[in-house]
Amino acid sequence: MNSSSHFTPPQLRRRAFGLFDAAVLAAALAAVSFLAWQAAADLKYGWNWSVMPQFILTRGADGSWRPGALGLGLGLTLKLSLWIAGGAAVLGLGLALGRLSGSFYWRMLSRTAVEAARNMPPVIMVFIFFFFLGSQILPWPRLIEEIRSLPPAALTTLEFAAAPSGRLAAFMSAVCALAYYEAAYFSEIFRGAVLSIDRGQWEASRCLGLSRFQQYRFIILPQAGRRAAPQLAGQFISVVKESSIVSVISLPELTFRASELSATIHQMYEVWLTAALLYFICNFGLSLLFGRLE
Amino acid sequence: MTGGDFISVERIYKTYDSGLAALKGVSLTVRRGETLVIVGPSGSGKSTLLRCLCGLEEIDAGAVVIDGQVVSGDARLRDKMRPELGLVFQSFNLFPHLTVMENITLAPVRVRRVKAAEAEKAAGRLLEKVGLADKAGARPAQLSGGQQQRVAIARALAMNPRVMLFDEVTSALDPEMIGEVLAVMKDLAAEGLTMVVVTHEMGFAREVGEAVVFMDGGEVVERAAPAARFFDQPATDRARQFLEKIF
Repeated sequence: MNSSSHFTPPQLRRRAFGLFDAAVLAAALAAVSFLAWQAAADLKYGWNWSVMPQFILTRGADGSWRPGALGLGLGLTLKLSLWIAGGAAVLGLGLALGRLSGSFYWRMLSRTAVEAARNMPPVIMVFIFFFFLGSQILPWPRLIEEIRSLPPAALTTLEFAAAPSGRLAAFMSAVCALAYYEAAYFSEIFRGAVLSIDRGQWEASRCLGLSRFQQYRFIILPQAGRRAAPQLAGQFISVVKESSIVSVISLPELTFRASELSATIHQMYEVWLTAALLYFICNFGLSLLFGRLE
Repeated sequence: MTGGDFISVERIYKTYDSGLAALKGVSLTVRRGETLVIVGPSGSGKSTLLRCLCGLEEIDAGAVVIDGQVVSGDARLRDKMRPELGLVFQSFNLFPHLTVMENITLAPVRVRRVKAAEAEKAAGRLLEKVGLADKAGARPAQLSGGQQQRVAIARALAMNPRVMLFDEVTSALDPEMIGEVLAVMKDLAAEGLTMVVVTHEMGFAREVGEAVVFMDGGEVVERAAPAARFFDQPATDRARQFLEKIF
Protein backbone atom coordinates (compact mmCIF):
# COMPACT_ATOMS: atom_id res chain seq x y z
CA MET A 1 0.00 0.00 0.00
CA ASN A 2 1.52 3.24 -1.06
CA SER A 3 0.90 5.72 1.71
CA SER A 4 3.08 8.43 0.16
CA SER A 5 0.27 9.33 -2.23
CA HIS A 6 -1.68 10.75 0.71
CA PHE A 7 1.17 12.99 1.79
CA THR A 8 0.16 16.56 2.52
CA PRO A 9 2.77 19.23 3.08
CA PRO A 10 2.79 20.91 6.49
CA GLN A 11 0.97 24.22 6.63
CA LEU A 12 3.30 27.18 6.29
CA ARG A 13 3.13 29.32 9.37
CA ARG A 14 2.76 32.95 8.44
CA ARG A 15 0.78 36.00 9.38
CA ALA A 16 -2.61 36.31 7.71
CA PHE A 17 -1.96 39.75 6.27
CA GLY A 18 1.38 41.56 6.61
CA LEU A 19 2.86 44.86 5.56
CA PHE A 20 4.19 43.39 2.31
CA ASP A 21 0.76 42.05 1.35
CA ALA A 22 -0.74 45.46 1.94
CA ALA A 23 1.89 47.05 -0.32
CA VAL A 24 1.26 44.59 -3.13
CA LEU A 25 -2.48 45.07 -2.89
CA ALA A 26 -2.12 48.85 -2.91
CA ALA A 27 0.10 48.73 -6.00
CA ALA A 28 -2.40 46.53 -7.83
CA LEU A 29 -5.30 48.82 -6.92
CA ALA A 30 -3.30 51.85 -8.05
CA ALA A 31 -2.57 50.24 -11.42
CA VAL A 32 -6.24 49.38 -12.00
CA SER A 33 -7.38 52.85 -10.92
CA PHE A 34 -4.85 54.45 -13.27
CA LEU A 35 -6.14 52.43 -16.22
CA ALA A 36 -9.76 53.24 -15.33
CA TRP A 37 -8.93 56.95 -15.01
CA GLN A 38 -7.11 56.89 -18.35
CA ALA A 39 -10.08 55.19 -19.98
CA ALA A 40 -12.50 57.72 -18.54
CA ALA A 41 -10.37 60.79 -19.26
CA ASP A 42 -8.71 60.15 -22.63
CA LEU A 43 -10.87 57.61 -24.40
CA LYS A 44 -13.19 59.25 -26.91
CA TYR A 45 -15.72 56.52 -26.68
CA GLY A 46 -19.38 56.52 -25.87
CA TRP A 47 -19.85 53.62 -23.49
CA ASN A 48 -23.22 51.96 -23.78
CA TRP A 49 -23.53 48.83 -21.68
CA SER A 50 -27.30 48.77 -21.78
CA VAL A 51 -27.41 47.08 -25.19
CA MET A 52 -25.34 44.10 -24.04
CA PRO A 53 -27.75 41.90 -22.01
CA GLN A 54 -29.99 41.25 -25.04
CA PHE A 55 -27.03 39.62 -26.82
CA ILE A 56 -26.67 37.12 -24.02
CA LEU A 57 -30.28 36.34 -23.24
CA THR A 58 -33.33 37.89 -24.79
CA ARG A 59 -37.08 37.68 -24.38
CA GLY A 60 -38.97 36.66 -27.51
CA ALA A 61 -42.32 38.07 -28.65
CA ASP A 62 -44.14 35.18 -26.96
CA GLY A 63 -42.43 35.98 -23.66
CA SER A 64 -40.03 32.98 -23.66
CA TRP A 65 -36.31 33.43 -22.97
CA ARG A 66 -33.90 32.60 -25.75
CA PRO A 67 -30.17 33.07 -26.11
CA GLY A 68 -28.85 36.09 -27.95
CA ALA A 69 -25.90 36.02 -30.33
CA LEU A 70 -23.27 35.71 -27.58
CA GLY A 71 -25.42 33.21 -25.68
CA LEU A 72 -25.67 31.03 -28.79
CA GLY A 73 -21.91 31.38 -29.26
CA LEU A 74 -21.26 30.23 -25.70
CA GLY A 75 -23.52 27.23 -26.26
CA LEU A 76 -21.56 26.17 -29.34
CA THR A 77 -18.28 26.78 -27.51
CA LEU A 78 -19.36 24.36 -24.79
CA LYS A 79 -20.59 21.74 -27.27
CA LEU A 80 -17.34 21.96 -29.22
CA SER A 81 -15.32 21.68 -26.01
CA LEU A 82 -17.16 18.57 -24.89
CA TRP A 83 -16.63 16.82 -28.23
CA ILE A 84 -12.99 17.91 -28.43
CA ALA A 85 -12.24 16.86 -24.86
CA GLY A 86 -14.03 13.53 -25.33
CA GLY A 87 -12.08 12.78 -28.49
CA ALA A 88 -8.83 13.97 -26.96
CA ALA A 89 -9.34 11.79 -23.88
CA VAL A 90 -9.88 8.64 -25.94
CA LEU A 91 -7.07 9.35 -28.40
CA GLY A 92 -4.82 10.64 -25.62
CA LEU A 93 -5.28 7.44 -23.61
CA GLY A 94 -4.41 5.42 -26.70
CA LEU A 95 -1.29 7.48 -27.34
CA ALA A 96 -0.26 7.20 -23.69
CA LEU A 97 -0.62 3.41 -23.74
CA GLY A 98 1.30 3.36 -27.04
CA ARG A 99 4.16 5.30 -25.50
CA LEU A 100 4.18 2.96 -22.49
CA SER A 101 4.07 -0.15 -24.67
CA GLY A 102 6.83 -2.71 -24.66
CA SER A 103 6.92 -2.62 -28.44
CA PHE A 104 9.36 -0.21 -30.06
CA TYR A 105 7.02 0.16 -33.05
CA TRP A 106 4.08 1.40 -30.96
CA ARG A 107 6.32 3.64 -28.88
CA MET A 108 7.75 5.33 -31.99
CA LEU A 109 4.38 5.66 -33.68
CA SER A 110 2.76 7.28 -30.65
CA ARG A 111 5.79 9.48 -30.00
CA THR A 112 5.68 10.75 -33.60
CA ALA A 113 1.96 11.51 -33.37
CA VAL A 114 2.41 13.35 -30.06
CA GLU A 115 5.37 15.39 -31.28
CA ALA A 116 3.58 16.34 -34.49
CA ALA A 117 0.59 17.59 -32.52
CA ARG A 118 2.66 19.47 -29.97
CA ASN A 119 4.89 21.25 -32.42
CA MET A 120 2.36 22.72 -34.84
CA PRO A 121 0.08 25.67 -34.15
CA PRO A 122 -3.49 24.49 -33.62
CA VAL A 123 -4.90 27.18 -35.88
CA ILE A 124 -3.00 25.72 -38.82
CA MET A 125 -4.24 22.24 -37.98
CA VAL A 126 -7.79 23.57 -38.02
CA PHE A 127 -7.15 25.01 -41.49
CA ILE A 128 -5.57 21.78 -42.74
CA PHE A 129 -8.43 19.66 -41.47
CA PHE A 130 -11.11 21.99 -42.85
CA PHE A 131 -9.79 23.03 -46.25
CA PHE A 132 -7.64 20.04 -47.12
CA LEU A 133 -8.58 16.84 -45.30
CA GLY A 134 -12.23 17.68 -44.73
CA SER A 135 -13.12 18.86 -48.19
CA GLN A 136 -10.62 16.99 -50.38
CA ILE A 137 -9.69 13.66 -48.84
CA LEU A 138 -12.15 12.51 -46.20
CA PRO A 139 -15.57 11.48 -47.53
CA TRP A 140 -17.34 14.09 -45.43
CA PRO A 141 -19.65 15.54 -48.09
CA ARG A 142 -21.04 12.04 -48.59
CA LEU A 143 -21.21 11.47 -44.85
CA ILE A 144 -23.20 14.67 -44.42
CA GLU A 145 -25.56 13.59 -47.17
CA GLU A 146 -26.14 10.38 -45.24
CA ILE A 147 -26.72 12.33 -42.07
CA ARG A 148 -29.32 14.54 -43.74
CA SER A 149 -31.29 11.46 -44.72
CA LEU A 150 -31.47 10.27 -41.09
CA PRO A 151 -34.92 10.02 -39.50
CA PRO A 152 -36.01 13.48 -38.25
CA ALA A 153 -35.74 12.62 -34.57
CA ALA A 154 -32.15 11.40 -34.94
CA LEU A 155 -31.24 14.40 -37.06
CA THR A 156 -32.65 16.83 -34.50
CA THR A 157 -30.74 15.13 -31.71
CA LEU A 158 -27.53 15.22 -33.69
CA GLU A 159 -28.01 18.84 -34.64
CA PHE A 160 -28.64 19.68 -31.01
CA ALA A 161 -25.56 17.76 -29.81
CA ALA A 162 -23.25 19.04 -32.55
CA ALA A 163 -24.16 21.61 -35.16
CA PRO A 164 -26.80 22.21 -37.85
CA SER A 165 -26.17 19.94 -40.83
CA GLY A 166 -25.07 22.91 -42.91
CA ARG A 167 -22.16 23.49 -40.55
CA LEU A 168 -21.45 19.87 -39.74
CA ALA A 169 -18.39 19.67 -42.01
CA ALA A 170 -16.76 22.63 -40.28
CA PHE A 171 -17.79 21.28 -36.89
CA MET A 172 -16.28 17.86 -37.55
CA SER A 173 -13.08 19.37 -38.94
CA ALA A 174 -12.73 21.57 -35.90
CA VAL A 175 -13.39 18.71 -33.48
CA CYS A 176 -10.93 16.39 -35.27
CA ALA A 177 -8.18 18.98 -35.50
CA LEU A 178 -8.41 20.16 -31.91
CA ALA A 179 -9.08 16.70 -30.49
CA TYR A 180 -5.84 15.55 -32.11
CA TYR A 181 -3.99 18.65 -30.91
CA GLU A 182 -5.29 18.25 -27.36
CA ALA A 183 -4.72 14.49 -27.37
CA ALA A 184 -1.00 15.16 -27.16
CA TYR A 185 -1.52 16.97 -23.86
CA PHE A 186 -4.06 14.48 -22.54
CA SER A 187 -1.64 11.66 -23.37
CA GLU A 188 1.14 13.27 -21.33
CA ILE A 189 -1.22 13.60 -18.37
CA PHE A 190 -2.27 9.94 -18.62
CA ARG A 191 1.31 8.79 -19.13
CA GLY A 192 2.51 10.70 -16.08
CA ALA A 193 -0.30 9.26 -13.99
CA VAL A 194 0.40 5.67 -15.09
CA LEU A 195 4.12 6.10 -14.40
CA SER A 196 3.31 7.42 -10.93
CA ILE A 197 1.67 4.14 -9.93
CA ASP A 198 3.84 2.11 -7.59
CA ARG A 199 5.80 -0.72 -9.25
CA GLY A 200 4.44 -3.12 -6.64
CA GLN A 201 0.97 -2.76 -8.16
CA TRP A 202 2.27 -4.09 -11.47
CA GLU A 203 4.20 -6.89 -9.80
CA ALA A 204 1.38 -8.00 -7.50
CA SER A 205 -1.18 -8.10 -10.31
CA ARG A 206 1.24 -9.89 -12.61
CA CYS A 207 1.98 -12.52 -9.98
CA LEU A 208 -1.76 -13.14 -9.67
CA GLY A 209 -1.76 -14.03 -13.36
CA LEU A 210 -3.49 -10.93 -14.78
CA SER A 211 -2.74 -10.21 -18.43
CA ARG A 212 -1.33 -6.82 -19.39
CA PHE A 213 -4.76 -5.71 -20.57
CA GLN A 214 -6.33 -6.83 -17.27
CA GLN A 215 -3.59 -5.08 -15.30
CA TYR A 216 -4.42 -1.80 -17.02
CA ARG A 217 -8.16 -2.35 -16.88
CA PHE A 218 -8.55 -3.38 -13.24
CA ILE A 219 -5.47 -2.13 -11.41
CA ILE A 220 -3.50 0.61 -13.12
CA LEU A 221 -5.99 2.80 -14.98
CA PRO A 222 -8.54 3.11 -12.14
CA GLN A 223 -5.76 4.44 -9.91
CA ALA A 224 -4.09 6.52 -12.63
CA GLY A 225 -7.43 8.06 -13.63
CA ARG A 226 -7.97 9.25 -10.09
CA ARG A 227 -4.51 10.78 -9.97
CA ALA A 228 -4.92 12.44 -13.36
CA ALA A 229 -8.33 13.94 -12.58
CA PRO A 230 -7.16 17.38 -11.37
CA GLN A 231 -4.92 17.86 -14.39
CA LEU A 232 -7.57 16.57 -16.79
CA ALA A 233 -10.01 19.10 -15.36
CA GLY A 234 -7.46 21.85 -15.90
CA GLN A 235 -6.87 20.69 -19.44
CA PHE A 236 -10.60 20.75 -20.13
CA ILE A 237 -10.72 24.42 -19.19
CA SER A 238 -7.83 24.98 -21.54
CA VAL A 239 -9.87 23.25 -24.28
CA VAL A 240 -12.74 25.70 -23.74
CA LYS A 241 -10.32 28.58 -24.30
CA GLU A 242 -8.48 26.96 -27.22
CA SER A 243 -11.77 26.31 -29.00
CA SER A 244 -11.93 30.03 -29.79
CA ILE A 245 -9.51 29.50 -32.68
CA VAL A 246 -12.12 27.64 -34.71
CA SER A 247 -13.65 31.05 -35.40
CA VAL A 248 -11.17 31.10 -38.31
CA ILE A 249 -13.34 28.59 -40.16
CA SER A 250 -16.49 30.58 -39.37
CA LEU A 251 -17.97 28.26 -36.79
CA PRO A 252 -20.21 30.64 -34.83
CA GLU A 253 -18.84 29.94 -31.36
CA LEU A 254 -18.39 32.67 -28.78
CA THR A 255 -15.32 34.37 -30.28
CA PHE A 256 -16.76 34.33 -33.78
CA ARG A 257 -20.07 35.78 -32.54
CA ALA A 258 -18.23 38.49 -30.63
CA SER A 259 -16.17 39.42 -33.64
CA GLU A 260 -19.27 39.51 -35.84
CA LEU A 261 -21.22 41.55 -33.33
CA SER A 262 -18.46 44.06 -32.73
CA ALA A 263 -18.38 44.73 -36.45
CA THR A 264 -22.14 45.34 -36.64
CA ILE A 265 -23.10 47.30 -33.55
CA HIS A 266 -19.99 49.44 -33.06
CA GLN A 267 -20.01 48.75 -29.32
CA MET A 268 -16.73 46.96 -29.83
CA TYR A 269 -15.27 47.26 -26.31
CA GLU A 270 -18.47 46.22 -24.58
CA VAL A 271 -18.77 43.20 -26.85
CA TRP A 272 -15.24 41.95 -26.29
CA LEU A 273 -15.33 42.64 -22.57
CA THR A 274 -18.63 40.75 -22.35
CA ALA A 275 -17.18 37.83 -24.30
CA ALA A 276 -14.15 37.76 -22.00
CA LEU A 277 -16.46 37.82 -18.99
CA LEU A 278 -18.55 34.95 -20.38
CA TYR A 279 -15.42 32.82 -20.91
CA PHE A 280 -14.28 33.68 -17.40
CA ILE A 281 -17.58 32.90 -15.71
CA CYS A 282 -17.91 29.65 -17.62
CA ASN A 283 -14.35 28.46 -16.89
CA PHE A 284 -14.27 29.65 -13.30
CA GLY A 285 -17.59 27.91 -12.78
CA LEU A 286 -16.14 24.72 -14.26
CA SER A 287 -13.08 24.86 -12.08
CA LEU A 288 -15.23 25.34 -8.96
CA LEU A 289 -17.37 22.40 -10.08
CA PHE A 290 -14.34 20.16 -10.69
CA GLY A 291 -12.89 21.23 -7.36
CA ARG A 292 -16.07 20.14 -5.63
CA LEU A 293 -16.19 16.80 -7.49
CA GLU A 294 -12.66 16.00 -6.34
CA MET B 1 2.92 -35.34 2.74
CA THR B 2 6.36 -34.96 1.32
CA GLY B 3 6.77 -36.01 -2.28
CA GLY B 4 9.22 -35.27 -5.07
CA ASP B 5 10.72 -31.95 -6.00
CA PHE B 6 8.17 -29.32 -6.91
CA ILE B 7 10.66 -26.56 -7.66
CA SER B 8 14.17 -27.11 -8.79
CA VAL B 9 16.59 -24.29 -9.50
CA GLU B 10 19.70 -25.22 -11.43
CA ARG B 11 22.77 -23.00 -11.32
CA ILE B 12 20.98 -19.73 -12.00
CA TYR B 13 22.80 -16.45 -12.49
CA LYS B 14 21.30 -13.00 -12.27
CA THR B 15 23.10 -9.69 -12.74
CA TYR B 16 21.05 -6.50 -12.51
CA ASP B 17 21.44 -3.72 -15.08
CA SER B 18 23.25 -1.77 -12.37
CA GLY B 19 26.03 -4.37 -12.58
CA LEU B 20 25.15 -5.95 -9.24
CA ALA B 21 25.61 -9.71 -9.42
CA ALA B 22 22.71 -10.88 -7.24
CA LEU B 23 22.82 -14.61 -7.93
CA LYS B 24 25.98 -16.49 -8.78
CA GLY B 25 25.10 -20.03 -9.68
CA VAL B 26 22.37 -20.84 -7.18
CA SER B 27 20.90 -24.32 -7.08
CA LEU B 28 18.22 -25.60 -4.76
CA THR B 29 15.15 -27.78 -4.63
CA VAL B 30 11.84 -27.46 -2.86
CA ARG B 31 10.00 -30.67 -2.15
CA ARG B 32 6.24 -30.96 -2.28
CA GLY B 33 4.69 -30.06 1.06
CA GLU B 34 7.93 -28.75 2.44
CA THR B 35 8.46 -25.47 4.25
CA LEU B 36 11.82 -24.20 3.11
CA VAL B 37 13.24 -21.18 4.89
CA ILE B 38 15.89 -19.03 3.26
CA VAL B 39 18.03 -16.93 5.56
CA GLY B 40 21.10 -14.79 5.07
CA PRO B 41 22.41 -11.25 5.38
CA SER B 42 20.84 -8.36 3.48
CA GLY B 43 21.89 -8.33 -0.16
CA SER B 44 22.66 -12.03 -0.21
CA GLY B 45 20.24 -12.64 -3.10
CA LYS B 46 17.33 -14.19 -1.18
CA SER B 47 14.66 -11.87 -2.54
CA THR B 48 16.11 -11.97 -6.04
CA LEU B 49 15.87 -15.75 -5.93
CA LEU B 50 12.15 -15.58 -5.09
CA ARG B 51 11.57 -13.00 -7.83
CA CYS B 52 13.31 -15.27 -10.34
CA LEU B 53 11.16 -18.21 -9.23
CA CYS B 54 7.93 -16.42 -10.07
CA GLY B 55 9.30 -14.76 -13.17
CA LEU B 56 9.36 -11.15 -11.98
CA GLU B 57 13.05 -11.16 -12.94
CA GLU B 58 14.62 -12.80 -15.97
CA ILE B 59 17.57 -15.04 -15.19
CA ASP B 60 20.80 -14.72 -17.20
CA ALA B 61 21.74 -18.39 -17.13
CA GLY B 62 20.63 -21.66 -15.58
CA ALA B 63 17.15 -23.11 -15.35
CA VAL B 64 14.06 -22.81 -13.19
CA VAL B 65 12.05 -26.03 -13.23
CA ILE B 66 8.57 -26.04 -11.77
CA ASP B 67 6.60 -29.25 -11.56
CA GLY B 68 8.92 -30.89 -14.06
CA GLN B 69 8.71 -28.12 -16.66
CA VAL B 70 11.51 -25.72 -17.51
CA VAL B 71 9.79 -22.34 -17.19
CA SER B 72 12.81 -20.07 -17.49
CA GLY B 73 13.17 -18.68 -21.00
CA ASP B 74 9.63 -19.68 -21.98
CA ALA B 75 7.42 -16.65 -21.44
CA ARG B 76 4.20 -18.40 -22.38
CA LEU B 77 4.75 -21.35 -20.08
CA ARG B 78 5.79 -19.02 -17.29
CA ASP B 79 2.62 -16.96 -17.66
CA LYS B 80 0.65 -20.19 -17.49
CA MET B 81 2.47 -21.38 -14.37
CA ARG B 82 2.42 -18.01 -12.60
CA PRO B 83 -0.91 -18.52 -10.80
CA GLU B 84 0.50 -21.75 -9.35
CA LEU B 85 3.00 -19.67 -7.38
CA GLY B 86 1.55 -17.28 -4.80
CA LEU B 87 3.91 -14.45 -3.86
CA VAL B 88 3.51 -12.30 -0.76
CA PHE B 89 5.56 -9.10 -0.75
CA GLN B 90 7.33 -7.22 2.01
CA SER B 91 5.30 -4.09 1.12
CA PHE B 92 1.91 -5.92 0.84
CA ASN B 93 1.07 -4.31 -2.53
CA LEU B 94 -2.66 -4.53 -1.96
CA PHE B 95 -4.76 -2.69 -4.53
CA PRO B 96 -5.72 0.50 -2.69
CA HIS B 97 -8.75 1.32 -4.84
CA LEU B 98 -10.45 -2.03 -4.16
CA THR B 99 -12.04 -3.39 -1.00
CA VAL B 100 -10.50 -6.32 0.83
CA MET B 101 -13.08 -8.62 -0.76
CA GLU B 102 -12.37 -7.28 -4.25
CA ASN B 103 -8.63 -7.59 -3.70
CA ILE B 104 -9.09 -11.29 -3.00
CA THR B 105 -11.69 -12.17 -5.64
CA LEU B 106 -10.28 -10.19 -8.60
CA ALA B 107 -7.79 -12.77 -9.81
CA PRO B 108 -9.91 -15.89 -9.22
CA VAL B 109 -12.77 -14.30 -11.18
CA ARG B 110 -10.69 -12.77 -13.99
CA VAL B 111 -7.90 -15.32 -14.34
CA ARG B 112 -9.37 -18.60 -13.09
CA ARG B 113 -12.88 -17.70 -14.37
CA VAL B 114 -14.50 -18.66 -11.08
CA LYS B 115 -18.08 -17.39 -10.67
CA ALA B 116 -18.25 -14.22 -8.58
CA ALA B 117 -20.52 -15.74 -5.90
CA GLU B 118 -18.26 -18.75 -5.55
CA ALA B 119 -15.14 -16.61 -5.38
CA GLU B 120 -16.71 -14.49 -2.66
CA LYS B 121 -17.64 -17.54 -0.65
CA ALA B 122 -14.08 -18.83 -0.92
CA ALA B 123 -12.70 -15.40 -0.06
CA GLY B 124 -14.93 -15.31 3.03
CA ARG B 125 -13.45 -18.61 4.19
CA LEU B 126 -9.91 -17.32 3.61
CA LEU B 127 -10.63 -14.11 5.52
CA GLU B 128 -11.89 -16.22 8.39
CA LYS B 129 -8.72 -18.25 8.26
CA VAL B 130 -6.53 -15.15 8.54
CA GLY B 131 -8.82 -13.71 11.23
CA LEU B 132 -10.28 -10.82 9.23
CA ALA B 133 -13.81 -12.00 8.48
CA ASP B 134 -15.19 -8.60 9.58
CA LYS B 135 -12.97 -6.59 7.22
CA ALA B 136 -14.33 -7.74 3.85
CA GLY B 137 -15.75 -4.31 3.00
CA ALA B 138 -12.77 -2.27 4.23
CA ARG B 139 -10.20 -0.55 2.03
CA PRO B 140 -6.54 -1.41 2.55
CA ALA B 141 -5.82 2.09 3.90
CA GLN B 142 -8.23 1.44 6.77
CA LEU B 143 -6.24 -1.59 7.96
CA SER B 144 -3.11 -1.91 10.07
CA GLY B 145 0.06 -3.24 8.48
CA GLY B 146 -0.41 -6.67 9.99
CA GLN B 147 -4.00 -6.82 8.75
CA GLN B 148 -2.94 -5.71 5.27
CA GLN B 149 -0.32 -8.42 5.13
CA ARG B 150 -2.84 -11.05 6.19
CA VAL B 151 -5.16 -9.86 3.41
CA ALA B 152 -2.24 -10.16 0.99
CA ILE B 153 -1.74 -13.74 2.11
CA ALA B 154 -5.44 -14.46 1.64
CA ARG B 155 -5.30 -12.85 -1.81
CA ALA B 156 -2.44 -15.12 -2.86
CA LEU B 157 -4.15 -18.19 -1.38
CA ALA B 158 -7.36 -17.44 -3.27
CA MET B 159 -5.69 -18.59 -6.48
CA ASN B 160 -5.10 -22.02 -4.90
CA PRO B 161 -1.39 -21.85 -5.65
CA ARG B 162 0.63 -25.00 -5.33
CA VAL B 163 3.43 -23.15 -3.60
CA MET B 164 3.49 -19.96 -1.56
CA LEU B 165 6.51 -17.67 -1.67
CA PHE B 166 6.96 -15.22 1.22
CA ASP B 167 9.42 -12.38 0.65
CA GLU B 168 10.37 -10.90 4.04
CA VAL B 169 6.70 -10.44 4.76
CA THR B 170 7.19 -9.20 8.32
CA SER B 171 10.06 -6.78 7.66
CA ALA B 172 7.82 -3.75 7.08
CA LEU B 173 5.65 -4.43 10.12
CA ASP B 174 5.64 -2.91 13.58
CA PRO B 175 6.94 -5.49 16.08
CA GLU B 176 3.55 -6.06 17.73
CA MET B 177 2.05 -7.11 14.39
CA ILE B 178 4.67 -9.62 13.37
CA GLY B 179 3.19 -12.37 15.53
CA GLU B 180 -0.25 -12.34 13.88
CA VAL B 181 1.25 -12.77 10.42
CA LEU B 182 3.65 -15.51 11.49
CA ALA B 183 0.75 -17.34 13.17
CA VAL B 184 -1.11 -17.47 9.86
CA MET B 185 2.00 -18.79 8.12
CA LYS B 186 2.48 -21.45 10.80
CA ASP B 187 -1.06 -22.67 10.19
CA LEU B 188 -0.42 -22.91 6.47
CA ALA B 189 2.78 -24.87 7.01
CA ALA B 190 0.93 -27.22 9.34
CA GLU B 191 -1.65 -27.83 6.62
CA GLY B 192 1.11 -29.15 4.41
CA LEU B 193 1.23 -26.31 1.89
CA THR B 194 4.52 -26.06 0.03
CA MET B 195 6.18 -22.84 1.18
CA VAL B 196 9.38 -20.94 0.49
CA VAL B 197 9.94 -18.33 3.18
CA VAL B 198 12.60 -15.64 3.02
CA THR B 199 12.79 -14.21 6.50
CA HIS B 200 14.82 -12.53 9.19
CA GLU B 201 12.63 -14.07 11.89
CA MET B 202 15.03 -16.73 13.16
CA GLY B 203 12.63 -18.02 15.80
CA PHE B 204 10.05 -18.71 13.14
CA ALA B 205 12.66 -20.23 10.80
CA ARG B 206 13.81 -22.62 13.49
CA GLU B 207 10.36 -23.64 14.60
CA VAL B 208 8.55 -23.94 11.26
CA GLY B 209 11.31 -24.59 8.72
CA GLU B 210 11.62 -28.18 7.63
CA ALA B 211 14.76 -27.19 5.81
CA VAL B 212 16.94 -24.09 5.87
CA VAL B 213 19.02 -22.63 3.08
CA PHE B 214 21.65 -20.13 4.09
CA MET B 215 22.63 -17.68 1.36
CA ASP B 216 25.48 -15.20 1.30
CA GLY B 217 26.95 -13.14 -1.52
CA GLY B 218 24.58 -14.52 -4.15
CA GLU B 219 25.40 -18.15 -3.37
CA VAL B 220 23.86 -20.97 -1.40
CA VAL B 221 26.38 -21.59 1.34
CA GLU B 222 24.60 -24.25 3.30
CA ARG B 223 21.44 -26.32 3.35
CA ALA B 224 20.29 -28.08 6.47
CA ALA B 225 17.30 -30.17 7.43
CA PRO B 226 15.68 -29.99 9.86
CA ALA B 227 16.09 -26.27 10.45
CA ALA B 228 17.10 -26.63 14.07
CA ARG B 229 20.30 -28.38 13.04
CA PHE B 230 21.42 -25.28 11.14
CA PHE B 231 20.90 -23.07 14.17
CA ASP B 232 22.54 -25.48 16.62
CA GLN B 233 25.43 -26.74 14.53
CA PRO B 234 26.08 -24.65 11.44
CA ALA B 235 28.39 -26.52 9.09
CA THR B 236 30.24 -23.54 7.65
CA ASP B 237 32.20 -20.64 9.09
CA ARG B 238 30.15 -18.11 7.15
CA ALA B 239 26.92 -19.43 8.67
CA ARG B 240 28.49 -19.42 12.13
CA GLN B 241 29.54 -15.80 11.73
CA PHE B 242 26.06 -14.84 10.48
CA LEU B 243 24.38 -16.54 13.44
CA GLU B 244 26.81 -15.03 15.94
CA LYS B 245 25.95 -11.57 14.64
CA ILE B 246 22.21 -11.94 15.05
CA PHE B 247 22.04 -13.87 18.32
